[in-house]
Amino acid sequence: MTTLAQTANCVLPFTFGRSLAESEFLEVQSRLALDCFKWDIQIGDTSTLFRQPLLIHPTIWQQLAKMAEDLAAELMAAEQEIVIRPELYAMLGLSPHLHPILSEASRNSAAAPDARVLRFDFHYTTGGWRISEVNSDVPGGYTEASRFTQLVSGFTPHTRPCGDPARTWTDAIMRHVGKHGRVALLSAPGFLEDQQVTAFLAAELQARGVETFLVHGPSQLNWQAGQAHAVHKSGFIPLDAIVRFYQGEWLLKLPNASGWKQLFAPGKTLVTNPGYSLLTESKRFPLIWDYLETGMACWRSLLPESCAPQDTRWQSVSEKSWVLKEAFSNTGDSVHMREAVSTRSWNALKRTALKYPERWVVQRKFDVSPVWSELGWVYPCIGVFTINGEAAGAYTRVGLQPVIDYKSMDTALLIAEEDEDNDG
Amino acid sequence: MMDKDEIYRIWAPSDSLWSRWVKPVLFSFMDSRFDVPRSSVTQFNIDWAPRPGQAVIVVDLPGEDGVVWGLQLARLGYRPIPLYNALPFPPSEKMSPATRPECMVDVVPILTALYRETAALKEIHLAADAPPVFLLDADRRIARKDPEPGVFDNRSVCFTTDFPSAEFLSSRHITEAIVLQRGSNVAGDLLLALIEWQKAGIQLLRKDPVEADPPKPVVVEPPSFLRRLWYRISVTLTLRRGELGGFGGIVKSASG
Repeated sequence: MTTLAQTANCVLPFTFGRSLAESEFLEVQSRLALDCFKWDIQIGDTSTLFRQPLLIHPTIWQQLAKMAEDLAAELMAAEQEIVIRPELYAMLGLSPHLHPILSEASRNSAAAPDARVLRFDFHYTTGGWRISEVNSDVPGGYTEASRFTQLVSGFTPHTRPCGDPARTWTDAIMRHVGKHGRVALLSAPGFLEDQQVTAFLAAELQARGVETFLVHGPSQLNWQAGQAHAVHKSGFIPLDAIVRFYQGEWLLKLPNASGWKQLFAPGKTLVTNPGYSLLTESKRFPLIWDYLETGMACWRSLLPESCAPQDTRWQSVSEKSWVLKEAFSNTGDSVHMREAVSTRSWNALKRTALKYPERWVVQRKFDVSPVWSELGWVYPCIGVFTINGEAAGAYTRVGLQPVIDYKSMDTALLIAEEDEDNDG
Repeated sequence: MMDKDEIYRIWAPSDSLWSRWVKPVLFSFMDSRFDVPRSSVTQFNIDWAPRPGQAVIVVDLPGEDGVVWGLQLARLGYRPIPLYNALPFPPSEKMSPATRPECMVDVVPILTALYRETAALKEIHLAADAPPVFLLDADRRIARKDPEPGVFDNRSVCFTTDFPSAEFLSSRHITEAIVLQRGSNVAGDLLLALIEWQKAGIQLLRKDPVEADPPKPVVVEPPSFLRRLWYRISVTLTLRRGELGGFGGIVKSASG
């Protein structure tokens, strides 16, 4: 089985495998929807589960895993440095409300937590591998990267998943909370896409004997001297951990009375991902690299050049080689390209970015190499998970356009096992 | 007794054009423990409903009413498509009805109605291209309990992307959409989907189930700036994010 595909002008490090048969696809869809809390299987007219797995050679996966681990090591070192340097917070576009809280956290030592999850979004471009961003705050895609991938692999001979981030994550949490631990999983009310993640992770913990509580707002937690409690009919239940799947920048918009600040402050209850993840979630993270002692060699080699909106290079009418991104945005919906919008819209975006430059960043555009599929050319994005610095699997999506957004489809990334006829 | 796979496939048969829009949330809870009471909805008048053809119906009624009306319309030839986005309770095999937390929205009657009506739906042999009747809970955004600690916040909204696009509807020769709801105010989250359909030339009509009048044509409009502003203020005051059910800006933008 080959894992190399020829595209218009280059050889790609992956190719699509056989499409699932209708009966196989229905089985995969049912298991995900009914057993694994994957409830967003249809978005508008798009079926979000892609029927063809993306196949890669084992050595390609090793390369990706190594790059992700190097990126994670640099990021976590940088994070520990930034958190004790409040003068950098504003450059990241962080809300002023958060500055004193993170500063306080740094005085109490923001040690690396027990379950730090990152997801690096890799794209294969005409210039080789690049990353578009890291999901540092609330990375999602566990169900797809774990169960969807397993199910598709079961129907695809001579392949194996490249990891099981859900199991690795559960292992990490279990090491902290123990077999009879109590864990609250926090997500925003009304956001089913987020609630399906916490429901899935809760089920993974429940299967190991952990008692879980799904909460949809920080005000539903009770704090006493830095110890968080869930509130139940039987009374206050001390929590061993809070799994925060509530975007940091959303929390900042809640009233103080909701108690959101407790999630950012050091306390007796583990909060994961920690509140200070927002420091590196900011798309303006590259703008402070020159001020850090941490070397960012891997990041510099993989992330396209970034600059502040005040930089004049991107501002000319004819310039189309940059993208405009909001500092805090979780999907491709806040990534803007000149050719994708009208002149009027682009000018409005430009005015906004120049008026509030701290909320935006400008990044060199890269050209993603498309891959031929049964739907025609599609653009893959391989989101490699690292958990406590180690690669754990990948949440892979394909878009009909180069930007990955809510209309993208989930696909299973599978390692094609080598056989005697072909070593890839 | 049917298992959740069988129940799901009766509501979302693989040969139906519209099955892919069925929301699986409540079907994933069908193996939980719950009591199944008899329906309390007994009065129906569906004389107003057009013969299945060029219309889709959106039922936005509270609790089990949506499911029960959906079944009545199924008997006329429409395919019921549940679009319930709410969890009925926190998923846990260990929890019994007695130990579950109180919920802000009472979704269990919808869950039990879907379970109860499955056998009846199975007996109705609908055409593969039977037009859809989308089922929503009119109480989805309304907290019947204060959001106190310990109360499970299962409020939900519907998104434009929960529905087929106007282009898809038009490609199936759908020319009108009838909203079956009490009162005249269309819910803010549903409004956005309807505006998209209307823009594409689909005629909107509204029908109140307790009135004898036939469906009346309506024109829906984006909310005014002041109305959006007031909504945002009220959202902030009630600790809810605008996207919970707001006007404008409802874009899929979940975490990571």
